[in-house]
Amino acid sequence: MSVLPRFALSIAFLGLAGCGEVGGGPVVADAYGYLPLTGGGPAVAYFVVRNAGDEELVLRAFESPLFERAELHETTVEDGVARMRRLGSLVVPARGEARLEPGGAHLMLLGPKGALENGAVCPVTATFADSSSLSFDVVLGHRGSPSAPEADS
Amino acid sequence: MTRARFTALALLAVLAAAVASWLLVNLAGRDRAPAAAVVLPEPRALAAFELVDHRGNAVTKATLAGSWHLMFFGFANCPDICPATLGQLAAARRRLVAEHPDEVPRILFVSVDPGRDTQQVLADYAGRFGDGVLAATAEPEVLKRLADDLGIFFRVQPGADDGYEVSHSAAVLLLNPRAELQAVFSAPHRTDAFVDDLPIVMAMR
Repeated sequence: MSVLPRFALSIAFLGLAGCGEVGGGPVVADAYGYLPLTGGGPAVAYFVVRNAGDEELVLRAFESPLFERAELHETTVEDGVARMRRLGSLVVPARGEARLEPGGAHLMLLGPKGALENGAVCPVTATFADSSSLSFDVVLGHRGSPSAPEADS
Repeated sequence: MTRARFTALALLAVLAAAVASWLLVNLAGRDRAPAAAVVLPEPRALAAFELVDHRGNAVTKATLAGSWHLMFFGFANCPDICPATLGQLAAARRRLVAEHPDEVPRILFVSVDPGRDTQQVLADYAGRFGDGVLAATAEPEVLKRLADDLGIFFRVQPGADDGYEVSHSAAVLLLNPRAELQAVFSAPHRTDAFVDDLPIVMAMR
């Protein structure tokens, strides 16, 4: 495990970040999400966490200022039955990636604190097992809107 | 062989080839098998049921009769597979409307979570997926009977943090215009599979 702390890092400022961690630190790509379908219902976010480092990383917790809670969940379909279970953590392998995508692992955003418009920018902070963190933005669209590609798995 | 006989034979051969290719295209096309849908050998009649939809109207075999329906069991608080599936069905519907405007199945979403999925919640939910979507639910016993009849499993159990854990069959069921079970699409679903298979299955009557 790296002894250097991984400072919170926003993908928006990735280009400006000059610290040595950037080369090997985790980054988030392909983030998108869907607004709640009903008043007070959950939003969902999908993204890929890439780890260029030589040590595996373990995602432990998420939070967003726009929601009461952010939880990792996973959908599984076994024998035709869909189940959703909460994940305590998610491993990002060394020199690999963890994919949160429709029909698999996803970030549930629960308890919206206010009204959310189509295209709302939702800041998310992920915390790793070593207490380092990574911040990024997810644009939340209505299902079917151009900013939110329809799942087709 | 005289020139006349040769010409006649050649014409006959050309004609035979034309007939053969016409048969191949038309009859084989008619007998195309669906790639994803499992079609029941005989459509299966359902026991009577009564759900209430997002407008407060009853949904029964009689109200479903006259149109094809794609039926999916889920719950509105499901953020992942339920809306993804409904999104695929809605997308398939939009694509089919262009080619088969008279015979596009409507979508019937059955919520297995009547405790949370009130009429208002279902109205919000159905409205997200465009025209032709009914969202309905009923008391748990009614849902259980209907689901059992259709071979659909679901379970709602209390979970942590005042939450529920809901598991449910992810299959999409096709009901014919007599409200009989005609075919089943198993998960994982693809929009293309619905677009390709639905016209074939609906033509098999």
